[in-house]
This record gives sequence, C-alpha cells and structure tokens, in this order.
Amino acid sequence: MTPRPSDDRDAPAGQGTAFDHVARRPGGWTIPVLVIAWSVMVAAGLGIVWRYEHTAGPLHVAPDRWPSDSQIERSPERWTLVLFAHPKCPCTRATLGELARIMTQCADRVQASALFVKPPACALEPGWEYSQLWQAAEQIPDLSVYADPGGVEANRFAAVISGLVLLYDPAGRLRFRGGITASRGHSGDNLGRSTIVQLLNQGSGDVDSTKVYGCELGTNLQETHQSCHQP
Amino acid sequence: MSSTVAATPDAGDRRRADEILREQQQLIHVRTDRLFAALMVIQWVAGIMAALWISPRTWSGAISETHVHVWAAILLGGVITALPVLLAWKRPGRVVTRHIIAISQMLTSALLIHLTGGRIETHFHIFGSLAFLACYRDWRVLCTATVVVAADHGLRGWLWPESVYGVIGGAPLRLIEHAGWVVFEDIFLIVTIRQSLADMSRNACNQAQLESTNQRIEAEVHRRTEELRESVEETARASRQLVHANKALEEQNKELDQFTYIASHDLQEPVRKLVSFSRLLEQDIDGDLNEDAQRDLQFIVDAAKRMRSLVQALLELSRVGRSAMKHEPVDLEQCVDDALDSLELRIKETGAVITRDEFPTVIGDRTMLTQLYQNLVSNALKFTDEVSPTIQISVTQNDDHWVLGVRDNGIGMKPEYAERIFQPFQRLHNRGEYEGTGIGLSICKKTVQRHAGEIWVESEPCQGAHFRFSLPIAEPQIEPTAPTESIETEPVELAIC
Repeated sequence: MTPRPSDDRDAPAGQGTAFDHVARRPGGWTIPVLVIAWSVMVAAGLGIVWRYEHTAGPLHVAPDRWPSDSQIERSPERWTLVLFAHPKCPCTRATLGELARIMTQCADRVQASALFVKPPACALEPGWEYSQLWQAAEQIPDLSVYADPGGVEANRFAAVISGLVLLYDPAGRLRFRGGITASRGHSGDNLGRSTIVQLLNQGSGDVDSTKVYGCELGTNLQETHQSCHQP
Repeated sequence: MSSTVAATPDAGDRRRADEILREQQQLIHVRTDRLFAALMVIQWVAGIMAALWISPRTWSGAISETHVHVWAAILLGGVITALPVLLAWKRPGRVVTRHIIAISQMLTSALLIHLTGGRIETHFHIFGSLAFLACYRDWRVLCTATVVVAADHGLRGWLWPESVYGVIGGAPLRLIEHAGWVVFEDIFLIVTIRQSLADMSRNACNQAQLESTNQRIEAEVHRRTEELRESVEETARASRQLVHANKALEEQNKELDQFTYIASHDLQEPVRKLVSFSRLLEQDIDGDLNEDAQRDLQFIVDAAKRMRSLVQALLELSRVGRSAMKHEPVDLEQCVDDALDSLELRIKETGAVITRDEFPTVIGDRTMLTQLYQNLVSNALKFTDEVSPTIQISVTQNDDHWVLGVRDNGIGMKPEYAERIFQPFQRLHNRGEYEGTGIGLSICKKTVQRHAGEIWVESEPCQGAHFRFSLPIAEPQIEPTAPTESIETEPVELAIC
C-alpha cells in the first residue's frame, strides 16, 4: 500500500520553515492573505503591462496632399503607402508583419515605401540604420526600403512614432494615417490594416486614422541630442 | 478462491476502495503540483529569455532603455510563479494549490503572449496548459483555468477590444468564439477525466477486494500453519516418547539377554553335576532299588538331561545374539557343504534326497551361516513322515538381496503357526513325537536378523515346509559386535515342537 503523503498542518510548532511556522497560526489566514496579496500584485503588474501596451504615441497632422518636395517615389496610377520606422524599435516588427500581409493582398494597387529614420544624433554612425528590421523589410515583396538620414522625410510628413503609416490615393490625397497594429508590438487583426486593405480594394474605409504604437523616431519634432549608443 | 475474488464487495471493501482512491488521487495531485512547480520555473526563465531576445530595449530616437517587457518578464513573471511554486513546495496536494497553479498557468500564457507580440503560435500555450492541467484528473481545475482565460479576454476585450479581437465592433461574438475553442477542449478533457476517475475507482475496488482476499488467505495460512506446527510438535513429542520407549526396551532386552546368558551359563555347572551325580547314583545303587524307585530315579536322570539340553540351548541362543560377528565374504556353497557334512550320518539314516543350487558369496559370519543351514536341514530331516525326505536347498536373486530357501516334503504345519515357531521354546508337537528343545528356529531367526535379513516359512499341513530367508547383496548392516566370547559350535537339538 502506498503511504499517504504527509500533511503537516498539525505538526508541532517550532519545526519546519518560516512558512510552516506562519501557516500554523490559528485561523488558517496565512494562505488566504498570501493569495490576496499575490492577486493584487499580479493584477497591478498586468495592469502596468496592459497600460504600456495600449498607450499610443502622439499623432501629428500629416500633409493632406503629397508634398511636392518629397524625395519619396510616388506613382500617379497607384496608391502610395509610406511607413516610417525606427530601425531598432522592437514594436515595429509587428508592423512589418502586418505590412507584409497588406502587400500580399494588394501589391498591384499600391506603391509602398519603408523609411528607416536615422536620428541626427546618429549621423556619424555609419550603418546604424541597417538593422534586423531593415533586413526584414527588404524581404517584403514590392516594398521599397530607404533610409531617412536626419529624419528629413519624417519631419516633412510629421511622423514622430515608429510604425506610422500614411496612405495617399493616386491623386495624392491623404486617405489614411496611423498604425497598423492593435497595440504596441502586437501582431494580428487590427483596424489599421483592415482599413488600408479596404481603401485599396474599395476606395473607402471605415476610419481615416488609427493610433500609433511604437518607439519615438527622434526627429526634429522631438529631437533628442543624445548619443545613439545604448547606455 | 476465484469465487472469493469475484464476490460482491462488502461495506468494508467499499470503505477501503474509497480510501485507496483518495490516496491515489492525493498522490496524483502531489506529483502534478511538483511537475507544475518545475514547469513554472522553466516558463519564467523562458519568458525572460524571450523578452531579452525579442524586445530587449525600447528606443526614443538615439537613446534606449530596458524594455518594459524585460521587467515584466522578470518581475511580473516572478510574482506569477512565486506563489504556486511556494504552495507546491509547502502544501502539495491541497485544493488551493492546484487552483492557484491553474490560475498562474493561464496568467503565464497571457504574459508569454504579450512578450512574443501576440504571436498566434504562443496562443497554443493556453491549450497545452489546459491539457497539462488535466493531469490533475480534477475537472474543477479546468473550470478555474477557463474562467481566468475568459476573464482576461473579457476584461481586455471590454477595455481594448481591438487589441484582443482585431476589430472594434462585434467583440462579444469574438469572445464567444475564442472561449468556445477553450470550452471545446475542456469538454473532451473533462470527459477523459471522468473516464479516468471511473477506471481508478474500479482499480481501487479491485485492489480493496484483493487486499481483503489476501488478508483472508493470510489468516487461513496462519491458522493452518499453526495447526501444522502443533501437529509437528505432537509428532515430535510422540517420536521422542517412542525413542525413549525403544531405548527403555533395548535396555530391558539387554538386561534380559544378560540375565539369560548369566542364568544359562551359571546353571550349566549345577545341571551338569545333577546329571553326573544322578548317573553315579544310578550306578551305585544299581539293583538295590525296587522297581518303583528305579523308575523314579530314571525320571530324575531324564529330567536332568533335558534340563541340561534346555540350558545349553538357551545359552546358545543367548550367544548368537551377543557374540562377536565377522563381516567377511562368505561362500555359501561351503557353508552348505559343511552343514551337510555334519549331518551326513542323519542323512544316510533317513535316506534323504537333497538337491541344491549354486550359491553366491555374501558378507557375514561363516560359522553362523553354516549353523543356520545346519539347523534348517536338520529340521527338514526331523519333521518327516514315513516317507524319505526330499530336501531342496535353493537360491534366487531379487533387486538388492538374495532369497535362500530350504524346502522339505515333511509334515508341514498350519500357516497360523508361521510366526510362532520362531519364538523360543515354542513347540507344535509333544516331546514324545519329535525330540528337541524348541530353540533352533529362534537361533535361525537371530542369525538372519544379525545379517540384516528376514526369515519366514511357507507351509501347509502335510505339504512340507519351505523356510526362506533373505541376505543383502551389498555389504549388510550388521549389528554392533558385543565384546563377549565367540560362539561355541556345540550341536543344538532342533525342533518345531
């Protein structure tokens, strides 16, 4: 016969660990208190994480018409999509995944470009912008990948958050601005992607802007004169 | 026994089955608690590694700092892991432990999904965890886990519906869809758990009955062992008593033999004097006595002679049983020759016809075996009717001994006397019919016994007698030799009288 595992609830005091000593107190309140305290801490932690993930960055007003001085190639026959990305933003990997889905569905109707912004503070760091995200972007079919040294184009389009997507129609009018992830770095179905696909396929969308989740690009709009090295 | 095993369990068996089932469930709970404790530590470490790899730092232009995901993996993951591991360590098997583990496992799934950027592959962690939680074989644990999943989805779907469902509208329907897949798995797991519990219950019932049967068998074995032990003790006690009685009997026999020897030996001298002086007296007063006195004196002389014969026979019997005995190869052919030579005169007088086989060599005492044949042939010559005796001296071989025989065509006897004639001084006839002391066959029996053999007679009245005896082929088990004088080879008068 297999012996029954011991239950030391009734073991004499003065033996065992501190947990045993406290847990033997009358009333059996130790475990409920532990569970409540643990629940509070877990809830607080999850709340912080959720809040962080769902806190969007500032969304500035982008030019309604395609800027004539922009160096980005635009097609008069197709829609033009521009993505502004921070080369090292981990959240933008999800944005590239969503963009890949868009290009898979609508590559023939859109001319897409991805601009990796190189902050002015990193101007003297050659190749700083050629990150894993750059390589991932180059893997997306029909997506043109450019560097944006000093964030010139980003400033032109009022982009301050990595992951901002602008969609101009063939006439050069701004039809959509915002992010294409549901939260920070979160892949999956989202309103931005579905709206862009809707615009490209049907010419109209439910919304014209969504929230943008990502790292700050460090453009002139929010220039930081810090070193580009990690602390 | 099989009927006992297959019997319907009684109340005691059912109680024991419940006890066994609870013990097994407790063991499963404890074991699974500890497995989950190890798994959660691994998941915690894996979450930290995933955060460090996927999103180590967050950037603001050219500056960066540690990503919130890294801190969440370390701190929040640590908090989520701490309590279930603590309970699994300190309170394994308790209900609260496995429910806390279920909650923590689902929270770990949520955290890992966050850390991996909501990858669809990471969502499989939820379904895998549910299957793992089914190891508890407690459907309530699955309910707790499912409630946590539903609460997480419901709360976040309410606060940030796009984050969870990817759309702003239709969140309730997506919640039902997501929860439906979890419930789908739960249903199958719960059915499996119920079947498993039913199997465990049956096994516990069988084990309880088996234990009960074993206990009965052990009790029966114990009882029978006790009986056997008592029986063995009784047998040993009886054996000891028998040995004691045999020893006492041997002592008495020895004393009797000693007495017989001493008595017969010491009586020889007075008997001899009695015979001698009665003869002298007869010579001295020869003719001086009247006829009655002479007849009385003759009675005295005859009685003295017979007494001398009896004393000599008794002494001979005693010597055969006590004398030193040789253990050497003896050619029975020579023994028979010697016996017939000593009886040659008698054989001629009776005109007996003797036939004989070829005899082997045995281990024994030549003198004693010669006298054995002499006694048996003499007996055959004596107990004859009017016809000339025909004597056949034979030998046959059995498995491990020789069977030797002396057959005659004499008067024979009834079979019921076959044992009696080997006892000392037992006679079947009056002294007037056949002379003798009645001690000869007793000497034969003693001789054969000392050669580890047996002697017996096959006879019918008027059909002759066939005396047979056996001698071992191998070296015989000879009785210990007595430190007394050797046998005197005085002729002994034989009789079956």
